[in-house]
Amino acid sequence: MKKVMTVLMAGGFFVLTSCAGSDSTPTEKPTETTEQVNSSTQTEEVTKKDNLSSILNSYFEMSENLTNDSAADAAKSSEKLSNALKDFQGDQLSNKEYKEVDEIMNSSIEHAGHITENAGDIHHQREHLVLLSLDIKDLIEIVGTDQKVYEAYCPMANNNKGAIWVTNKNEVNNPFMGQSMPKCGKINGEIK
Amino acid sequence: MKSYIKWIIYSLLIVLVGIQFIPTSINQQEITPYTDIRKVYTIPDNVLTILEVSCFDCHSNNTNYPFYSRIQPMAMLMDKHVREGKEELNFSEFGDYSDRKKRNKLFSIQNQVKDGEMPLSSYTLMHNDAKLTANEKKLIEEWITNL
Repeated sequence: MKKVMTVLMAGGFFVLTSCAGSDSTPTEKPTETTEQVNSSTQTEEVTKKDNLSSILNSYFEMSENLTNDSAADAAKSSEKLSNALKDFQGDQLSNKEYKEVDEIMNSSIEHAGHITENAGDIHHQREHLVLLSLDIKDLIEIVGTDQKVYEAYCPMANNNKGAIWVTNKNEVNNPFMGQSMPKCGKINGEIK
Repeated sequence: MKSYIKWIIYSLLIVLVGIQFIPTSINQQEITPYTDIRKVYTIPDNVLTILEVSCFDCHSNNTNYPFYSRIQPMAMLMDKHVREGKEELNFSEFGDYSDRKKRNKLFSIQNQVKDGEMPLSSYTLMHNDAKLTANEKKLIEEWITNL
């Protein structure tokens, strides 16, 4: 019995010393600041007037994938969108605009990330498209774009609560309803 | 053969005793900070009760610990869940979120509750009272819709 106790105590001390070091490190709070948005590794050469082009193009691609009910492709184009969002430089923006854009970036990168992670769950992808589209619309309104872009609306999306999406075509190709009702909805107007 | 089994039992015992020494943090806060969701919105009592019972353990700075959760390895699992839960959504810091983030979080709450993704089934397995009835889900959904 004495032997057992000795072994038990030795084991206890061993585990104590081996775990204490790694577990006692304080959990670091992720610093989500403007730095994150700025820390782009490869900035594409884009004209200041339309530096949203890579963001918008990957958004449109993703939207088209969802219209075609292709969750796997949507996940891929959403990854492109994430990268484009992270690469965005808001140099020409005022401080106030920059703060708003920073929040849009944090939000939209999160939504795009969810769409990428849910390559097997188109329902979940479309849920995130509801808010992602609002982010993209706000981004266009602040930053501006050379492209002609429209706001489209579907009353049946978002559990019949209605939702908007952004499109570069003046016609309805519904990413929320997909091939079951691709023409459901209407164009609300141009986003400027 | 017999001593072989004996050693396995001893080793298991050693590990079980040993891991009890692993330190865990306790997620509890005396005050209700001004950023608490209860100070950001007016929450009807019946909705607040649902949030407290089904959500706050992992999504606020106050966890209501059952006795077994202080015993390892449960304590480690609980710690991890609370840490991850708070990172995703912390009702105690809700007031610190930007309007956009608030909107995102409320939208996700509504959808995940509706789809039965939250509370996690691994949580309701041990917390039967945290399971949401159809009526409770509806209360949450209506509260968020009317905010």
